[in-house]
Amino acid sequence: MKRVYIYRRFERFWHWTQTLLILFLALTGFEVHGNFSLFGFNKAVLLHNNAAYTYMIILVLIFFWLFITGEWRQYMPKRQQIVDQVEYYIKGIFQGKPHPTHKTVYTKFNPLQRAAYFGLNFIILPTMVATGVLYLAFYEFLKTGEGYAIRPIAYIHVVGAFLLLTFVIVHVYLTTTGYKPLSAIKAMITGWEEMADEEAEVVVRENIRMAMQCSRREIIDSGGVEDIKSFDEVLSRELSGTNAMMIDFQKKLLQSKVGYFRIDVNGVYVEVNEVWKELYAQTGIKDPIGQHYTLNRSDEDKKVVEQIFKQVVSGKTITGVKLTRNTTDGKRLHHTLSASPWYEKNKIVGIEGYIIGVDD
Amino acid sequence: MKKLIQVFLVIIIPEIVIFSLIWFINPDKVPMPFNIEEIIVTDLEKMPADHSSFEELNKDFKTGQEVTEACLSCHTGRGQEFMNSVHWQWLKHDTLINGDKVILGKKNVPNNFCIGVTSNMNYCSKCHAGYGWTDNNFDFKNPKNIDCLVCHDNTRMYKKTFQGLPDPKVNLKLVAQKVGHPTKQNCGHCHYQGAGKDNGKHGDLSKELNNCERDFDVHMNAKGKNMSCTKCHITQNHTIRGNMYTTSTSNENRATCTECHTSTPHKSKTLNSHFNQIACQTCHITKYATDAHTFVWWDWTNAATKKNGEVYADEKHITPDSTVLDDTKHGQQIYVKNQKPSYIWFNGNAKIHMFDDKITESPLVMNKLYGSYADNITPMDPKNPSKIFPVKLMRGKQPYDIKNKTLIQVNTFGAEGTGALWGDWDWDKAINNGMKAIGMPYSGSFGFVETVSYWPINHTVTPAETSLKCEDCHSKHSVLNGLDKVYIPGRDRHIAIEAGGVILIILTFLGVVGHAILRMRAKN
Repeated sequence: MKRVYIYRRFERFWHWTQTLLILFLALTGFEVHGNFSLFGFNKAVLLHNNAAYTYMIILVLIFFWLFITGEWRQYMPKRQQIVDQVEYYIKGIFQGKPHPTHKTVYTKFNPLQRAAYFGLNFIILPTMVATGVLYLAFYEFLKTGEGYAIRPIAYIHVVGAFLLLTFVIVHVYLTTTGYKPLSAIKAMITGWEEMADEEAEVVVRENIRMAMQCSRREIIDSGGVEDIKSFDEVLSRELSGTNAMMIDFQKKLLQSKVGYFRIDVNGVYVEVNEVWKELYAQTGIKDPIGQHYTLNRSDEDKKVVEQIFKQVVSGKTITGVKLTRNTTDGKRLHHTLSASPWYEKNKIVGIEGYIIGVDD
Repeated sequence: MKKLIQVFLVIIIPEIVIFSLIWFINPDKVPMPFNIEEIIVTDLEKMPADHSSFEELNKDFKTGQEVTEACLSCHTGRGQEFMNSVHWQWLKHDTLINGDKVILGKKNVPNNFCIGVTSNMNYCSKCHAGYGWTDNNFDFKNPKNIDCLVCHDNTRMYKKTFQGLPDPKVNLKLVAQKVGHPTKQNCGHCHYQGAGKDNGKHGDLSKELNNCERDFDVHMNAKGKNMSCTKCHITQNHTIRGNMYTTSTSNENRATCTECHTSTPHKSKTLNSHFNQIACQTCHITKYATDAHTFVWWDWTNAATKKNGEVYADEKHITPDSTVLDDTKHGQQIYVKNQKPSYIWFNGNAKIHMFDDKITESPLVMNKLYGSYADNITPMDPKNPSKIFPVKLMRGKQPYDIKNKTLIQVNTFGAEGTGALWGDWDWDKAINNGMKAIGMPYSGSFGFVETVSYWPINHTVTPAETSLKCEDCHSKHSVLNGLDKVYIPGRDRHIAIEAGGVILIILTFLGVVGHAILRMRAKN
């Protein structure tokens, strides 16, 4: 068993806030609806309203976060593998077959989850908010003589409440279909999900691939100056995580087209991987080991890499810097560079890092 | 350990903070609530001058008219002023919601208690603020006929008798010297006694108000503010504010709670928001007739019938709070105590059924109070959208002209030989007398039509702690169960949604349990 980091801090925060709010709103809401008596109607209304205002604020934060981080893309329904997923739940799960899809930081949801969460986040919740707001605003409108029929609004709100309850039941049940029955819930609490070794390998590789894709996209978007935190975060997390360390990272980097290099304090290459060599193939450099990092760079680029080297050797981590390399036939190729100090016995003995080609 | 701290920071602590805010913050609180203590009830009880020192009043008055003359000799112009008032005319100009002008009042409006005043003035004028109104020949232009004392007597000794004349036992000199602003007793002299019985007509106006406890009426509480009627029914130049919707049709000149209490009197915004749809009375007057019985049924069908040739009266208790009286004089009456009001939508506009209006329905509504839930969306009268009001319903059966399809005025009061119902026990003679007096044709054949009238409950406001609670309306056993169009949270539900929702949840639950069992089996 290994653990892989899936849920970020804010995600975990809003998930549990949302959970408690939905349950609390259901409790107070059904009391207001007259199904039972617990707090008393007066208090139930007050608590329901307060929880509703809070939820609206949290929803604004969630949606802001979803759109800023691009996470919303994960909620867009897709047809691919939806049949596999259905088949898994009605057949495969009983035969002990593996999940047809993998959970990574970048694709947390299987196609059924996408459909369900899309419905939840983009249909049911907005409907509940809209009907709730109309409900709250009714008297303001009434005051100005512009009342409207509250009955259909209330009925829609009740329908939404039943659907939310149904969602909660199914959702809680499906959390037990992970690696172990409590794996999914633990993951939502700590961020780290337990997985089988093979699954974890696939997921970590996928995470890195996606991180690189994202960083590449963002580097291109921002013209190379953006600090790519997500890439760095994922990589460092994959490397520092206790269990993830067991995975052959170099192998994965090779598969995922990340060039790796290590340079000692004197600026001399100590190690590069095959991908690095592939990226530099057209520059006439076959094997850089033993050579200085300035290599065949132009004077301008030399200044940049010297600058970077100085910074990293003095302890800083640099991510997503865009660099150029000159080919033998005079072309200029581009890649991004992320580098961090290479420690040995708490002393910086050089730098190591990754390069990703951005020309394709 | 580090993980634990993170879980604390990311999940547990934020949730504790969020839910404590939800629990303790009260955005419903009105920041600057209306403070009743700021309302000062001014004292008008003392008269500016000691009338006992006036030469004009130092006489042995023989008649009420002589007193009135003395009053008007100083209070010049007040006579003319008063003679324009409803208390004198028993008529007023009003408008219907469609703009039509009407003239109506106690004088010409039929009711479903004693039916109507015309032809019975000898008796009914006991409550006219004048002297000698016996028939249609009464001189409404003669200020000497004004009865000043019935409203301004402060000795509580003044009494009126038939034809509106002072009881001969009354010491008019003493009463005249002790006049003052009208007290509860003055107004109550007539207004408590509608239909000839304390609390009989309105159900919320009885002698008890003269000296009541806080629990009975917060405003008139003798140990509290002890407000008189005119504190709310503000009076200027003898024009008294207030409408009774059995003789009014428009939302004019009403005495309202908001005058003092504002339209946002509560400390809770949610409670204040009820103002748009709920009249204050609805929550703050939860019962009526708590002290004295009030009529809810008067069936004239068996009036003027005798048992074994004798005039009879049988009184039976149906329940501890309700009594039925079968007698020759009235037919059948039911009077009750401790009633909960009925509730209606009302927008302050009414239509009064008059003697010359055709009867087109049964039960015939004597005073149609307009208003409906639809007013919330498209108000019939945009200035006065409907609100839910408490009312007392008065039902009964009364004579009508079968051929002309109109209500009948009956001459009820009179001595034997005059043709009055209570004198000769003869319907035909009584109807002939009554119809002649109101100048309406009578076909000769009469029947009994069921009628209903609505009596808005406005008095006996009880302390806040005894008002309706949320659950009184917002529950399955809502007191507003008669009003089905409006959506009331906690009361209303759509059966299909409810059933569908419960079935969905049960099926989901079963599905989940079934799936789990299959999974466990597959594992084993």
